Amino acid sequence: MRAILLACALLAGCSDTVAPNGTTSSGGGGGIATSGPTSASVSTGTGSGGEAEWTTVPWWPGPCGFEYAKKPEFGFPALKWVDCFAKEPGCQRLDKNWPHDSPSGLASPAVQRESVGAYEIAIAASFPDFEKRTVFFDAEGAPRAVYRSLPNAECLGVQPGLADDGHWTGQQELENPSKFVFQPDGLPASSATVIETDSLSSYQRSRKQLFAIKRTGGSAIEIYDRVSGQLFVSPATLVGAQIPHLVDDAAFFLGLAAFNEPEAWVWSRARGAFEKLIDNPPNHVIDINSDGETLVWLEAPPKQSRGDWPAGTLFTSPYTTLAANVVATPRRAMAKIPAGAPSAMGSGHYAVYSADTNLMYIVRTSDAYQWTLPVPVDEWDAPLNDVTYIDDEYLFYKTGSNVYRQRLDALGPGEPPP
Amino acid sequence: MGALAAVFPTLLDFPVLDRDDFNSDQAFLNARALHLATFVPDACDPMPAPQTALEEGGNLPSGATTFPQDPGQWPCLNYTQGCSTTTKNKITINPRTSPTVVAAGGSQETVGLRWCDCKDTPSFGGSVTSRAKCRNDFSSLCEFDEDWYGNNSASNKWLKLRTKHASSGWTTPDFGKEWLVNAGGAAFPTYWDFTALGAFYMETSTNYAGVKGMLWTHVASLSNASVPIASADLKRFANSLSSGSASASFGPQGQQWAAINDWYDCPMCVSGVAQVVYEAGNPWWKTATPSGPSLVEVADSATRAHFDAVGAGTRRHVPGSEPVSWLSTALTADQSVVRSVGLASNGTVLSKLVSTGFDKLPVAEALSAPGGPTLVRDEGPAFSVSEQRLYVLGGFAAGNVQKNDGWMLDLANNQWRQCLLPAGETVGTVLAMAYRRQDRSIYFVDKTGSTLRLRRWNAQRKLTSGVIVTLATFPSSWNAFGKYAVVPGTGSDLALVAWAGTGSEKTRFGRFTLSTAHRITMAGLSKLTTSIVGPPTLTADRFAYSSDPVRPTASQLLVSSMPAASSNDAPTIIAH
Repeated sequence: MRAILLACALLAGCSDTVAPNGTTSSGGGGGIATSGPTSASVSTGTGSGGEAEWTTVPWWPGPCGFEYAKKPEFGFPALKWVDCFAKEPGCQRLDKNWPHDSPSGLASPAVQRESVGAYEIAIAASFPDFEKRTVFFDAEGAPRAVYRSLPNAECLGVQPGLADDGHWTGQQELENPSKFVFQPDGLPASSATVIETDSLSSYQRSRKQLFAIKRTGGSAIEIYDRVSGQLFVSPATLVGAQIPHLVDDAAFFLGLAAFNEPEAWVWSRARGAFEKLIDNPPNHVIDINSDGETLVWLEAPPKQSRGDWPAGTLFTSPYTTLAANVVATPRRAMAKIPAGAPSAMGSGHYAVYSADTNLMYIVRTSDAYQWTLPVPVDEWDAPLNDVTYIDDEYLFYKTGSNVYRQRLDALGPGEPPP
Repeated sequence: MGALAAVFPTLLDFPVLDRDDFNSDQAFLNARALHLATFVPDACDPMPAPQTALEEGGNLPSGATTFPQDPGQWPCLNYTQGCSTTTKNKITINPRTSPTVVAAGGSQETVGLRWCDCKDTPSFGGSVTSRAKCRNDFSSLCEFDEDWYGNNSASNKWLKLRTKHASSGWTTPDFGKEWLVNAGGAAFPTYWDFTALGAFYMETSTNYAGVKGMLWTHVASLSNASVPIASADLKRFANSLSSGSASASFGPQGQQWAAINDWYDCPMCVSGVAQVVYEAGNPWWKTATPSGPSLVEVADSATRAHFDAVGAGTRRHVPGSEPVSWLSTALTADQSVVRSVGLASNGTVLSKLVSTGFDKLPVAEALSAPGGPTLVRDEGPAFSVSEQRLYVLGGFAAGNVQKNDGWMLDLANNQWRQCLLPAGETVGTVLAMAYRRQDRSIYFVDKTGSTLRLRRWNAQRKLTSGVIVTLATFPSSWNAFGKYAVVPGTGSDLALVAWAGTGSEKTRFGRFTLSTAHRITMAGLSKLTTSIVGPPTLTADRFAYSSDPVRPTASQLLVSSMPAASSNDAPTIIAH
């Protein structure tokens, strides 16, 4: 990505086709975090133009206006991490240094490791007066692309996504076809790839080459693959499905052929289709995830119709997208975890949240060691919403009030499998 | 179900819409709008999906964390019934049945509730559209998923409710309660402790605490196994979404508009007069005409200040007791009289409103009359235009001690006189008081224990023994009201009007007549299920009053139409 940015910066014509990622801005796109404005100087809903040079994106026709900042450093304050409210070791949360009038109002973020200890992050935040802004920070914390929907109660927004060569964004309203796009780095907004779907969706997840949504008012999953340029829709036989976890070439998710009977499903580029991956009756798969090297899933015995899911077992298998190649190995017993609980996987680490214990469980797949992490207490006693990202350094997650990150080496020695 | 059956007669699942299937963007949008309007859990479906309403009328556990309370922010005046906390947390669940259930001989059904937080959904209200936004807006994401009812809040979005236990109340509240009821049975209430959700979900400010969200009502099971509804279909379709915005707020009781019981000329009114009404925080005072509120122009600054102070709750407006219809004929065109007085909450006299003739608006002037009573609580004030005198009777001093005295302020010389009640004579909590011109007496209603009494003080004789006479006592049916007024008529009439009823009866007019010897007889009683804004006035043949506190409108009640009081409502006339 940096190579693309550098190449663009060296091209004489770049300044005439300003990209949403602000590659021609003079003070901030790839600059240091301190070059951005303070919250006091970030305008809120004052119309197009301004210091940030807000410019309408060409692909959104709806009355709920959607703009990008030609000078993103003026569109959002630089990212800043601060200690958590109770100063738990290794715990940091975002300094909410942008204008806001609610303890919540954040979408699930996107996180991508640039290098050791350096992460690109994207967040979408509600500003006062029904304005929403989506910001893509570079690894140094400077805003490198900022979008905003103009103050309008009709704008629903889209959860952002990151890729090595661009980012995913979009806009939705109830009364207009939804638009989801991939914006390549260094290219003008007119070059954004508009995905061939109009579906209204409550959940979106995107990463690298893949973009997935869960349709509102049904169970269908749609997956768009940038490599093939095709859109895939899950089979209508599923009565329920969870938003998939994405790896480079596949999407893993829980599918329900019947209520209370979740199974592991996969969409893979190699097969170009949705397929059942793991189903081990009478047990059910209640979470599935992968880092591209290992498959991790939780299996639990059947549940009563309205009771909690019983405590289950964590399994792993070498990575595969084919049911026949799954080699199930039980690794350790787990706490009671509801089906479809927030989870993440990366760099040989798996993290999942249990609403039953209000703990996050972190398991290293190499030796099945486990660490537990309480949801941090804050001023609002906000619940956990999303386990966003994990690797061998950090766990990123989101509560109702903020985005957090936790250093794994601050969690102690861990517990071996019983 | 109508839309479902009519538009998609063979479809049992959510329709999947694809732009390629439509000839134009508009056709696609139309279909999508129909999809949104039809295939949502709000829509009626063939399942016995209950309907749920969140209403005022509940209470919260003692000690529930609500809000910082500041009565000073509201005009908690006596005539607005003071201030109180209004709690909107009563959830009424209306179990439904369906032809399928009925054909199978009926069934019991297990009904449960879940709640999702929509406080960050822009302009969230109670509409279907608002709920659709809440389901899709990234900051709320109250996605509806049938499987989440029994899945321990997989993403912490659909939460169980803490509700009041049917027998032990808030001592041992329920959490995630399910109710086993007859499909199609009677609606029933439950009370929700929304404060138990915690600070993150609450919106709190001075005098307000609340949550904004959606309620999901679900039929978890049917007890009659012969009902041909698959459990999966029950799970998918026996759902409804409704408003889940609950609150507790502290403010003026009852209604938005209140009356100061001043009446002005109203040619378009059958009674000829219209009542002056005000609204908390609204700088414009109005009269209640037959077509609704009409602006009262108050240009004089002192008068404006008087009314503003009354509206702000720092001044008490004591209007003249004489019927306005009598005043309109009795006052000559150039006669200057005081029509009402303004008191500070402690009784200090602050202002008088003077009119020249009847037709001109009274204008406020400063008034100082030191040496009068200190008002603490439950005193009865009354002002006489014809006597130009202010009367104050009864009430309690600090320490809950009955004052047992009366006071008179003569405006002619600004002199207060205090009259102590003789030994053995007491006045209870004075609920209403008025001066009656015909016998130059004060008529008042007080409460001793739980008994309401209509009493008379011949105020010209000071407070000698026997000068206070009990005329009637009232049965308990008169107790279920928040406010009372004694209303003298132009002739032999006198009325006791009760309003702000706590039951279905909101207003009660009781009419008495007085003989030439001033002996009282019950002459008729009418009940209204509608609210009035303030005390009515009596003309020669009718009550004139202002109905509908939301949009005050002049109304009337002919005395000739009033039936006799039933035995349950008739007062006991005491020999006098």
